[in-house]
Amino acid sequence: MAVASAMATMTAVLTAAMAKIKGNWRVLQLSAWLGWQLESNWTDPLLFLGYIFVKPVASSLILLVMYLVVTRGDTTAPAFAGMYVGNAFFAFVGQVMFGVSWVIAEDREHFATLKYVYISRIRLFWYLLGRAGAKFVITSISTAVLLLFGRYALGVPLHLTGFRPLYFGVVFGLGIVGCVGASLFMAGIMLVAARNGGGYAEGLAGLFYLASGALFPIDILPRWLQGASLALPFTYWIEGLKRALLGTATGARLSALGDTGLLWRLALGTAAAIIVGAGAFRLAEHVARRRGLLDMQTQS
Amino acid sequence: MSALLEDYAIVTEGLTRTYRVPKPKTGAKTKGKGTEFVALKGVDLTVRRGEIFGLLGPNGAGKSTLIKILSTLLLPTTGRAWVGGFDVEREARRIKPIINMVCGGETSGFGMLSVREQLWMFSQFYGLTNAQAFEIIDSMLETLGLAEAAHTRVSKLSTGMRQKMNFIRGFLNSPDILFLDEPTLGLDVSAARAIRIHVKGWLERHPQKTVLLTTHYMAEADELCDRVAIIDQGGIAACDTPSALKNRIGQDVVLGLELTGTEPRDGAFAGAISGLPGVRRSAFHQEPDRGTTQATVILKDDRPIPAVIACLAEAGAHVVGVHKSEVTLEDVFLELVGRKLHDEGGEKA
Repeated sequence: MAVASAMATMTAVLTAAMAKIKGNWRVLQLSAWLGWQLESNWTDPLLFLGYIFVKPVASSLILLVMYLVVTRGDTTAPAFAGMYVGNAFFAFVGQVMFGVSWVIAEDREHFATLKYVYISRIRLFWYLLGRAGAKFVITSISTAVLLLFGRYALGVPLHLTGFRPLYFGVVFGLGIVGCVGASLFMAGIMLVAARNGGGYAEGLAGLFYLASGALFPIDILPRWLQGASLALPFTYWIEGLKRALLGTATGARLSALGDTGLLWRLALGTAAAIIVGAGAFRLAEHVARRRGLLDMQTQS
Repeated sequence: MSALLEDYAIVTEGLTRTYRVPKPKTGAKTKGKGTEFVALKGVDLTVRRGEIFGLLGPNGAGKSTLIKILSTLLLPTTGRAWVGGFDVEREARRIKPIINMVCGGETSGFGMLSVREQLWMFSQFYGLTNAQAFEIIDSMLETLGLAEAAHTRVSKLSTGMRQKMNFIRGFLNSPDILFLDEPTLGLDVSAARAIRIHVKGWLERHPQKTVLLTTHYMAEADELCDRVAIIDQGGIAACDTPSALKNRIGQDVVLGLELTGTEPRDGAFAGAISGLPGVRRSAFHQEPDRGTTQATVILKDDRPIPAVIACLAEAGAHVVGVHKSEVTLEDVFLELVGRKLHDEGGEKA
């Protein structure tokens, strides 16, 4: 009798958990669909396709010109390859982090829909993750275009022979989870800030761009900033991606770390980013509700 | 308390909400955190299940603040509130599936989606199947005259059409408790009527559903509501059925006057008649388009009418029209609050 009762309880708990997972998955799908519609629907499909190809290529050309002017080097040098790959992947940090935090401002103040999403039975957390998914897809296309353009048009030494797919997959996945953590943190900031709070996300992304070694090896940064770099999961993420794609480590400080050590640091940093990001978002949600900011309209 | 919560869809107990108003930026450094604005002052309210309950009051009276608290968008400063038996502060997640809200006078919506897509997406947030969702969506689009715009992008809709679309969104999950915050604000007369008809029909088909309606259109409250609470400056001035509220001044005479030919001197007119025996309340409302001032005067009986007209004439007013009217909720508001509640734009319901 007791066993049957325990089984029944367990079945009920499992069914409820499955329903919850199914529900959250559905919200992820829906909000990713919504994100895609909003990102891609502003113009006709052909123009949109052109935009997602031309934009990254144009930014890579800017980088190329800056590199050639400053170093008078050539594009096949390892330094350029590291810079190119770092820049290509850093787009995920900038786009996802800024994009997700902007969802709050846009849904709340431009579309005036945030309050209706909030009072529906879904969790804002999953809704934002779905919207991040749309940003992820678009950034993935841009990054792939950028890497192919670099390899075939600029001669960046990206060789499939040295490519380590498993290592790349693990590093890339962890880094994206870290991006989501940072995005949630910034979304929390946006919940309690006015529309112009979007500048915080842009500013933070700029700081990460400098400190994560996306452009330069962190060895050339001031010592105090090197300390900050080593505390960022994105530093290990960019370094791991460079190693997976180019086969070489960059800079003295990070070269001292083996591949496994780098992965551990990335995993710890990612876990911290998710915990801090989710915690900050939850706290911000409560503060926004207490202060009446969920349907705020910034005075202009 | 638990028995009370079973019988009532909404219960509030000493509900208070204050906002901090920041000091205006003047360029110079200012000390302090600004002033405090009290939006709700110790509101005690009970709304029965199956009731359509109206909150009647002018802009800034606290109606929307109350709805925000009950719909889990805002926390109260002090006091407590329960919706569907659940505490708004501690059990918000249990409230959300059973409520929905429609706010009038706003143009919300994802501009890139079509009307049907937008409504479908929200239906999915409530876990409806596609068949259930499209049945409700298509039928309501038809009822509210939006069927032809079903595949139009939200960004292309007029304000009124967007408002109708949002009205439909509010019914998608067939909520047990529906908050309608000025749902007809800014709509034309026929659209407002369609909305009122829909609300009445919906409640007839679902007698256990509850609607909390805020409005500053007296006729709308009178037509739709089982009970009405008159709210002013964050407090409930009275709460009863519309007929009981009107009976409060049932023996009184409501006199309407049209004044013309003078510059607006409402204060002087009010002062002139306020001391007359038998005059209980008066309110003056200018109509610049017509160049007239409309006066409403509540009298104890017929006898002071000649004196009122004479006094106004002495104060410089030309009385061009006089009529006795039926007691309306507008008159009740005037009697209770001491001033008239004016329609501010939109439909004169």
